[in-house]
Amino acid sequence: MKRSDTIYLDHASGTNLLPEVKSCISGWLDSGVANPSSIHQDGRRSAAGLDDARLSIAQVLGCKPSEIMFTSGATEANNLAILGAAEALQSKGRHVITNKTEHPSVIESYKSLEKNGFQVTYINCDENGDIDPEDFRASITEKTILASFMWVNNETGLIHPIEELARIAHEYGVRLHCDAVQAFGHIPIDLQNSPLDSLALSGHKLGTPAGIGALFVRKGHAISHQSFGGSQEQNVRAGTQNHLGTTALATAIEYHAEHLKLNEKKYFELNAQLQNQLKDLPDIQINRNGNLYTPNILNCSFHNIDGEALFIRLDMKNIAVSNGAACSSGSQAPSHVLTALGFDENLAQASLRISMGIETTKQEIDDFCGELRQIVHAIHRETT
Amino acid sequence: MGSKDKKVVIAMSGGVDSSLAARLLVDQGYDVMGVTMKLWGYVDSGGRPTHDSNCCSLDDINNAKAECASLGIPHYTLDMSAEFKEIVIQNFVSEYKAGRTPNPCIICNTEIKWHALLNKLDDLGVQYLATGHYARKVKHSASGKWVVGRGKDKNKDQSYVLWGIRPEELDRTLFPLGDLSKQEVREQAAKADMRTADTPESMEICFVPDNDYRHFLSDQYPGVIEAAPKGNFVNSSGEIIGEHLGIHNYTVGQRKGLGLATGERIFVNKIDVDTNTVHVGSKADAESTNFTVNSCNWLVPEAFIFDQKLDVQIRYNHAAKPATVSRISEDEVQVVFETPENAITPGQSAVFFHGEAVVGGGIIKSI
Repeated sequence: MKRSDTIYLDHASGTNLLPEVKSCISGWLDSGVANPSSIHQDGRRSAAGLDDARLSIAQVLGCKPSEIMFTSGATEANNLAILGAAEALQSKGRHVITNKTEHPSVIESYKSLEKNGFQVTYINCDENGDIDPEDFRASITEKTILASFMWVNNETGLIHPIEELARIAHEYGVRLHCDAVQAFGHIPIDLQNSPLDSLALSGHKLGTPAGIGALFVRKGHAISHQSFGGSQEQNVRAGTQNHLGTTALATAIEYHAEHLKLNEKKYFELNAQLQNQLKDLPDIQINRNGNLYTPNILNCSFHNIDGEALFIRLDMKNIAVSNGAACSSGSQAPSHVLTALGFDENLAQASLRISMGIETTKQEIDDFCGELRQIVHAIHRETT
Repeated sequence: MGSKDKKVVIAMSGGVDSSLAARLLVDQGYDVMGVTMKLWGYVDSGGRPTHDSNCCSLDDINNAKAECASLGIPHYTLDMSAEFKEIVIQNFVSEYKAGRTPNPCIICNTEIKWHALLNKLDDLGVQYLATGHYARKVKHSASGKWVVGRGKDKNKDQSYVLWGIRPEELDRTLFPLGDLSKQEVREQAAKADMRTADTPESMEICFVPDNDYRHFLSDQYPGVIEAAPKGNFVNSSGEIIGEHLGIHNYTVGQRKGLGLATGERIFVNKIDVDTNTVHVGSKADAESTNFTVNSCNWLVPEAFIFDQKLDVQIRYNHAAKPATVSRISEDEVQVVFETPENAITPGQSAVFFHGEAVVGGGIIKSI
C-alpha cells in the first residue's frame, strides 16, 4: 500500500485506493461491466450493482436510495446542487448566500449565478475561519432562496456549525446545501436526523479512483437538471452511470462509517504528535484555535520563509503536502481560504496543509517533522 | 567537468532551446530541476491566447513540465510576476515616458532570470543556473576572467542580451547550447522525439501583444500615452515642420508613422524630453560617432576596457563596430566609434566586446 520513498501527507487531496475498493473493482473487472441502462442480462447485472451501491450508501447516510444521485465527483455535485436549486427556486427570489472560504466548486458556482443576475452575499469569517450564525441570519432577505456552507474546511480542518446554520436557514424557508467532502469519515453523518437539504461527497478522498461522487437531495426538493441527455440519476443527472465508480464509492463509504471511531482516535494521536514536534520551529504559527477541527488535517504557516522554496525543498525530499488548492499550472497561488482569514500573501504562501490518511504512521510523522525542521532552519530568514 | 551530483536549475520557457538544454544537462550527469517562471499574464495584457506568441501560458508551462517528466526530473513553476512587474514593466513604462526605447528582455535577464532566480536558488540550496541562450562562457584571454562569449551560431548569438550578468552570478551559470547551432538544436530535439522540437521562435517582447507597445501602454497604463503632450517635429535646420503626438510614440531611426509629408525619406534622429521635441532629418543626420552610456556592468577589470580597442554593439541586430570607451564619471562612460553609426538609440544597450568576449555593457544615455 505505501507509496515508495514518499512521505505522503496530502491525503485530503487524494488518497490511495482502499484494499476493499481494489478487490471490489477487480471483481467487477473480471466479470465484465455493461451499461446499467441496457436491457440485456449484462446490463441488468450492472444495474443491480448500481442499485446495491445506492442502497448501501443510503443506509450509511440515513436517507432514501432515491435521494442519492451519482455524479463525476464533488465538483459536479456542488455545481448541480447550487445551480440546480437556484434555477428551480428562482421564482421565489434571486438572492443566494455562501461563505468566502468555500471550495472553488462552490464559489465559482455562485460567481456563475452572479453573472446570471442573482444577488450573492459572501459572508465574512473571523480570523479562524468561523462563520457567526448570526451573521448568516442577518444576511437573509425575503428574496433569499439558497445558502451553501461546507461542513469541514478542506485547508484548515475547521468544523462549521452546519446544523445550526441549516436550522436558521429553515426559519426563513431557505434551502441549505452542504459540501461535506472533508466531513465524511471524520464526523458521523445521519441525514435522517439532520436538517440539511442537500449534501455533496467525493470518492477519491475516501479511497476510490477519482471520477465518482454523490449528491444527496432531500425528497421534495426540486433540482433543475444541468446536463442534458438520458434520464439517468433521478431524471436530473444525464449520462451513462459510472457503475464501477459507484460500487467503489459504496465500498469506501461503508468502510469509513465502520472505522470512523478507530481512525479518528489514530488521527488525534498523530495530530498531537505533529503539533508537539512542530511547535518550537522558528516563526511557526499553527492555524488551529480550539477543538472544532477534524484531526486528520493540520495547517501551519511560517513567517519569514519563502513559500515556494519551502514546497520545492519538501518535494526534493519526497515529501508530499499541500498549500491549499492545487493549481493547474503547478504554480502556487496564495490560498483564498487563508487570505479570507486575513493572512498576507507571503504568509499564505508559506503555509502547509498536512493531511493524514489511514496508512499514516507515527514513524512517518517523525520523519516528516525531522525533514521539515532541517528545511525551515535552512531557509528561515532572521528578522532584525 | 565532473558534473555528478551537481544540482542545476534549468530555466525553461517551454520552447525547444531550453528543453534541449535540460536534456543535455541530464545527459552530462547533472542533478537537474526544471523551472518555469511565471512572469506575466499575457491574456491580461490583451493577448489572444489562441493566436499569438504566448509567453508564460499554460501551454508553455505544460510543455516544460512534459519535457521534464520525460527526462525523469522535477519541474516547478515559480511565480515571479511581482518582481517582473515591479522591475521590468516599471522600467519599460518609465523609459518610454522619458522618450527612450527600452530593451525589457535585457533587464529581465539581468534582474529576474539571473538576480532574482539565483536568490531563489540560494533558498533551494542549488548552486548552478542554466539557460537555453545561444551564448558561451569563455575565458577572456587578456584578463584571465570568465565572461559571456558569443554563441557558436552567429545568427542566433544572444550574448548581446546577457551583458548585465554580474561576475559572481556568471560563475554559477551554464550555457549548454553555446556550442550548437539552432539547426543542430532542432535536429537533436527531433532525434530525441521531443514534443517541443518544432515550437516556433519567439521574436516578440513576451508581455506586449502583437508587438504593439503603444497599445500595451494605453491598455495597461492608461494616461501614460494619453497625457503626454503633443509637441514639435524639428528638422536639421531647426525649423518646425509639424506636430507630434507625444514623444513615446517615436523611436530613434523610425521612418514610418511620422505623418510628415516632406517629399524625402525622413527619420527620427533624436528625442529631446526637456523641450518635448522630436528631431527629424535624413538618414545621414541620424548618424553619429559619440554617445554616452550608464548603468554599466563590467565583467573584467577596467584596465582591459578603458581606452582599449573594443567592438561595440548598439542593438540586437547590429554588427559590433570598432570603438573606444573612456570614463566620464563614476557611472558614465563615453563611446566613440571609428566611423559614424546610424540610429544610436537611448534606452538600448551598448555591449562592449573584446573579440568574442563580452567585457561589459550599459544603457545608452544620450547622443
